Amino acid sequence: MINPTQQNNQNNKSDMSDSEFKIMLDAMINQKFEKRSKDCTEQERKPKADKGV
Amino acid sequence: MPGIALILPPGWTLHPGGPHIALPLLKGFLQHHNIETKIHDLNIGSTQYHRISISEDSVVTACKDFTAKAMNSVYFEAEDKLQKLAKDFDGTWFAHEGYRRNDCNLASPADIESFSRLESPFTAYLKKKAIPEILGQDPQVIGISITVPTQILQVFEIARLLREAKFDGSIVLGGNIVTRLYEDMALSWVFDIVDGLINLQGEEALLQIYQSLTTHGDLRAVPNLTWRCHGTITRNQSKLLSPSKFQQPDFADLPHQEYWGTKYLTMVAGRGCYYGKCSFCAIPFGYGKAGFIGSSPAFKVVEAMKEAYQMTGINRFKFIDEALHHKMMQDLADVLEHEASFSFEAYLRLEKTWMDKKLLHKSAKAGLKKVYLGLELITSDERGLLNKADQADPLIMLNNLKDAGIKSHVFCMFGFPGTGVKQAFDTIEFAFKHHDLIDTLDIFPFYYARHTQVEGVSVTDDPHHTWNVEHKYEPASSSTLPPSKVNILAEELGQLAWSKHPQWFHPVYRMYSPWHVN
Repeated sequence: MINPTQQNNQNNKSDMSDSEFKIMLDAMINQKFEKRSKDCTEQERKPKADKGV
Repeated sequence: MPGIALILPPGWTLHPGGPHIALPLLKGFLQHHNIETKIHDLNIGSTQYHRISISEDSVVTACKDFTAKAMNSVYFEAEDKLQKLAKDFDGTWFAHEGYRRNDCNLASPADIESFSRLESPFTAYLKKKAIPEILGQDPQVIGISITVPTQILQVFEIARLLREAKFDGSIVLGGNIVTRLYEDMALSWVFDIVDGLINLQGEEALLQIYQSLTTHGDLRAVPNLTWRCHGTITRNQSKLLSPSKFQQPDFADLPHQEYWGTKYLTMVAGRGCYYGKCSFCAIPFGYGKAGFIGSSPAFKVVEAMKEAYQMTGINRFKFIDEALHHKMMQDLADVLEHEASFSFEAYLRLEKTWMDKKLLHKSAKAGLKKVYLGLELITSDERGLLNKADQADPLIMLNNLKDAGIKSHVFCMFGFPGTGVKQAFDTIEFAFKHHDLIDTLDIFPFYYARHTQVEGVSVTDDPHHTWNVEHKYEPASSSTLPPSKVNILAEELGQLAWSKHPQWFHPVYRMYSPWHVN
């Protein structure tokens, strides 16, 4: 199991590329949470939101 | 008698079920001073012109089964039409985010100056309908409010078209974006098109501009005005609006049945944020150094709600106070609990006073349907960096709200300097675990808002992009995520939450949620 605390420190390292960071997050998500839903939701377009105020 | 025309330009979000409150507040003030004032909402007008809308009925029908597919069907039928219009002008037009022209950087005044000369998806509407209607009123002063950056390009197109149509009165710009940018907006080419920039509250400035132009013509005493005086750009003295001069919003002139989804009106009790110290938040800047200019008495607010209801037939209200104070809620509830006809929603801080079950039940009885809570991150040592100084237990507060029959929206913000993956994952885990207490939720990446001070980052702004409302930055320490990774973190966890709880994010559900029982 990936330890989020360790990852919190690791991911701030400047030597990790954005693509490596994304792969790491995907792995953490798949480990920590149930696999993403297989129903149609995942394939549905997600309306674009702004960034808040 | 010719008066003042107030314009909300296209480019603001199309999601709200009612008008932005800025212009109704100005109209209420100006009408109180016997100045004939007319509001022109060109944001909703531009979609009316193209017959693009989302009706209340379609929202209610789509939300019967809460699937992303049903809600998307309604939403994208409208948004795809906007995008088709924008594509012909090499741009994008999202229903929530507004219009952007490709290759035009909205932070670059040089880009705005050149691109605002080009035709846009709004040109036909402006030339054939909006501008003839505005000038048909024969106003002496036209005030244009800029509330978000995606309106800036259209503002200068409108101003140019007004001049082309031989309007020779005063054009002044105001609103939150002008307040945040007015020093950098004071450029010579800007004053070739418009006559003034108004920062902070525009009430007294507009009143005095109008009075000056109809009498002596001297603008030197007009508060909050930046203008060109005999060739020299001049900044007049700043003055905050005193609470004794607050007037309530006047919603006449507006096409209330044309707004998208379930209809409601905006309302305000306190102006600004009574706390105003969150590290990441630039909202208080728009209300002067204290970030807050005062409140109207509750009975006045209720009077305004009653008048608005009588005028429009709409009895739903969204309080836009950045945070409604518990004392104001108590006072409002004292009056409203005997007025069974009103529903409302409000933003609250996660303060212990809101854990009071009695207050929540009283508020619900008064008509409070939904609250918006700035959780940002679940409790941790690192959350303290946000300087929110709120100490309510989020779980107890969410439980108490649900128990009182009040829905909750939760704002999350990931990647603030000094926070990272662990705090974001812990927050999402909390939300998933207690999903039955959460009606809707947002996940935002941290961005460095101009006029805030954030530790742990270095600003790397492009010197040509002086109209930026958020800084570019890079980490100044190893505990800070760079912006690219902040965006990936928010996007990845947002996609995860979307796959599990699409209604949390869906704009069609949000057009339905506060006002209907699931």
